[in-house]
Amino acid sequence: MGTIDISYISLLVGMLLLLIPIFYIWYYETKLLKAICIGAVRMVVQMLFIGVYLRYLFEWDNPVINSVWVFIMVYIASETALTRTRVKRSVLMMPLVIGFVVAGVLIGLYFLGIVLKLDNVFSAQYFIPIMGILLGNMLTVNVIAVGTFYSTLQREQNLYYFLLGNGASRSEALKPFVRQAIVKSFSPTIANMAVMGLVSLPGTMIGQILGGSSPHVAIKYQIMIVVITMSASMLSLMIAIQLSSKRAFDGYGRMKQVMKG
Amino acid sequence: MLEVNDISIQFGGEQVLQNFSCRVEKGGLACVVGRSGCGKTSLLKALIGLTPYCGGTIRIAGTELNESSCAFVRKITAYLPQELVFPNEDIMDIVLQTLRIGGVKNVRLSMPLLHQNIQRLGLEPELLDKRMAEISGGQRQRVMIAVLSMLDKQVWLLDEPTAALDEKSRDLVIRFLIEEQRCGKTIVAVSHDPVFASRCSTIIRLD
Repeated sequence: MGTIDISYISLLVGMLLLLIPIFYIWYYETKLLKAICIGAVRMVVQMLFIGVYLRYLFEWDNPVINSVWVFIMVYIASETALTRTRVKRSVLMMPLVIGFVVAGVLIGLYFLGIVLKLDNVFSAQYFIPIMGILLGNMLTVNVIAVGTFYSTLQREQNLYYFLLGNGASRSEALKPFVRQAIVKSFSPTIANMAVMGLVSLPGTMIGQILGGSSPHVAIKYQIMIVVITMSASMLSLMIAIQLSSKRAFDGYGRMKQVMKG
Repeated sequence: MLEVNDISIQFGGEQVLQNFSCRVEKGGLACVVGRSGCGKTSLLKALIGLTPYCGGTIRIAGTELNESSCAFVRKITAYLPQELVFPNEDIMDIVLQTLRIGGVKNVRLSMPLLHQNIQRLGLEPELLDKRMAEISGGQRQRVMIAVLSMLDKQVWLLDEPTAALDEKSRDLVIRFLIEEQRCGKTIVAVSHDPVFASRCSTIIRLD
């Protein structure tokens, strides 16, 4: 069973649906209008380019080139997270890069090497899409969680200083803030996981079924995708928070100015 | 017990304290007074290294405050900031967390004493079964004073402990603090309340 192609005209017709969110974003003066328009254009252009890039990456199938490509993806994801969280570059950039690389490589290779048992874990057909899915999810979680962590900490400094001033170590005093960050960023994922198959039919599974895989195989991939994205997201978040908080506080545990502006 | 020698503090780019010194003896109850913005809270926080200061020295229980000693100083100090905002969690969770970080080993055994202290402050122990958002600012303040009293620290630093309290509750808090002082605690409190200041053994004036 082949997949039905979408012509460029049909794609344009389909994209008209974007007018619904654009209308409400404009009507309620959310100041997101420019962002959604730029985002939509960027998505189309980037996806057209990726079609070309992927063809060559798959043809060459060179582990070094694939790894370099993934590192470029990590860099772009880190830049995006940095912009969205509004935390200073000197505090967050390296922790994000390290978190994405360590969590992506560890979890990605665990899946490809141990679960899928691939002979060549750097094979472009598997390595690049899996790292792409992991990075996309790690980016979303880190933007929400790291942003929540530092903005709540800034707003509720009294609580942090109360705990620190009563003898807590820095990591003990940060615990309520890390907890809030985890709850906020993981609640949607956990809720979604609980109704998967009943309410939501996730993208990876649908893509595989449309591509001709049997539902039986697609389901197993989907389960693993949920597991690896959640694990990588949590690992990268913990690394980013641990490493960035070393730069965000002075020797007395006092918070430095970490937010931009 | 507590010595501040010749320190200066800047806050928001402004010099709030310059070459300031003061001393509180062991078992003293000191009130820090002065107009708004004169550096009372900054001084209180500086005593445990939560606000930067320059020049001079701060010594608590004979230990000079610096980067390496601040953890020890905080272990022997109880600190209650003003307008403490807690996440809307069960009060008991926050109480247990505070007791744990304060070094209370057997939290379960401490409960009867906590209930007793809460009653001394004019509250019902059942209050502990509520969530933070369900009690008033004044109740929250008294619950936290009761919790701090469980930590068995030598020095207490309190920022406006009687603010947001009616006259009766304020008198209960003052009596509670005086009783703790008589048990050997050294208490330093920032306050705008003249009644509270009049009951203290030492006044630290910042104007």
